[in-house]
Amino acid sequence: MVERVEIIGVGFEGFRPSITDLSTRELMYEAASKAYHDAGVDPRKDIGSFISCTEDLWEGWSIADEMVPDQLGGAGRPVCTVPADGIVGLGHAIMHIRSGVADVVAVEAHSKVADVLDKTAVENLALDPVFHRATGANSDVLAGLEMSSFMEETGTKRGELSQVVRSAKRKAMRNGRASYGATLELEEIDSSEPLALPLRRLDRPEFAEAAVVIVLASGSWAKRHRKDGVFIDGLSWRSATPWFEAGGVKTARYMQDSYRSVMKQSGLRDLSQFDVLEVDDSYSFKLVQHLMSMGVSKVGVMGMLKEGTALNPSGGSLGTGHLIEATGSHKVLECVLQVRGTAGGNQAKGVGRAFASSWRGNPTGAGAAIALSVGN
Amino acid sequence: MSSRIRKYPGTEMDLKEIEAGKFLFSSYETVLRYSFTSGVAISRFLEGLKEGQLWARECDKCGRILIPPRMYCEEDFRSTDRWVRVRDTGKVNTYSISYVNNDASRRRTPVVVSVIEIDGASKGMGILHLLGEVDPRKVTVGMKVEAVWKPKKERRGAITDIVYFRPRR
Repeated sequence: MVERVEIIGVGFEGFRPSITDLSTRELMYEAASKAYHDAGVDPRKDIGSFISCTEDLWEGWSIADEMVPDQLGGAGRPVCTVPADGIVGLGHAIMHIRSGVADVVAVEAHSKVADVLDKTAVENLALDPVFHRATGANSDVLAGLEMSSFMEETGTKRGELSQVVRSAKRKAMRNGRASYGATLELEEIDSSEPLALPLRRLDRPEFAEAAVVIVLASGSWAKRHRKDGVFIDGLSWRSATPWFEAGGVKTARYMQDSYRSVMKQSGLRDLSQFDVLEVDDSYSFKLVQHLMSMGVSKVGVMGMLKEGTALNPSGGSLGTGHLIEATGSHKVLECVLQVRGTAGGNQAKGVGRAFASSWRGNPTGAGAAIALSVGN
Repeated sequence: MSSRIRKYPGTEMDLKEIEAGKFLFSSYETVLRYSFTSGVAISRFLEGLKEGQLWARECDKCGRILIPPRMYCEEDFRSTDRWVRVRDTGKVNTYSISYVNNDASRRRTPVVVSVIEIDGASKGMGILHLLGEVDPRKVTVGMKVEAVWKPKKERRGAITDIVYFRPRR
């Protein structure tokens, strides 16, 4: 039988557009300290493996592994970095636990993206050097192309995507971790600054900074130490073809396949069985695309936007800000707080199950999903 | 090539042919720019440099005095407790006589790069800097050294506010 893995502690720091008083290391230390306190563990004794989700180019620090251990409590201990979204880092932690590497694992992810003065230069390095960089198409242009095709194929209207933005910004007004809350009229969103039409300024999140640390433990360890964890019922990630031109925008295959795998692991049927969803909204149309990829009709998506707090109660990336590799960790954090009943202003009632997903951004076809629960 | 292999099979690419565009490459140049937030510990350290002072942090649990300073002790995983001013003298922990710049270009005259264990900090705590006013052949591990500071008006809160360390007089 595969051992169950639980989240026994979470900690975070930041969640501001720019954190000017803490270095990256100090930001990580603050989040880690809180997570270990929450979990009731001593990292120098109890944690067997430390994982940091970080990408060298965002850090401005080649081989970023070297700057990770001290502030996580991992000096002289097994530490590794995963250059991927935080949910993928959680997947690695599960593998560490189930393979016997460690009983308890800490997974850190952060964004200190305000330290990157030219973010587009970093994003452009992710693009194909022969076809994309040469044409001057940056990640927003790719998003504009995909958005255009998605709207055409699915009949999605500009006004519907503006509703996505308005909903996220409104919810963010009640979330202390969200940097970009606003009360907007649909017309303001419809006519915001054009980036790569149909993509407009308000269709994409602004950047934000934060660190999130999540502590996982094997079910047997948690039981021995009497920890009330949040169960990870399923976790999966997928990478699609790197060829942006391959088409097929109606369905995000990385999300569809990740979702299906998670549902199979969880023994669940569909998204309606979750009380809270934190679904990737790295662009407004991506929220619709990701939900449709998980079996929700467009009518259903638009209905979910009107049903109070169940969909992206945090305000999502559009309301919270884009946290680069910490995007998925933030969504998991919000889910953990929801099932614990401590999510704050947007706490939903009676949350027993929660679902989170992330996408690594253009030009990738890489996404991840996770299902969480308590008390079942 | 080696003493046993005079020529590898295939067609050699000549530099002139490459420069003439005979072969197709995709070239790309970029400029990556960062402005790293110094944070609490390093900001105080850099402010101290402007005043000609070196500041460290002390951990009450292990008793170590850490320089460069950090707000947490990596051994005990707890916040460090207080600022401690340490001296601007120390001893050579290790050194290298370097004939290369950091872009790997050659130097005609070498520089002596050293880790200086700072007096007043715990053993093994030090900063990497240059040695000056010394014949490279006479540098020894354990040599006592002192900081040579830039004039105060030229200091800007950078490690280069110390020009170099020289043998203690």
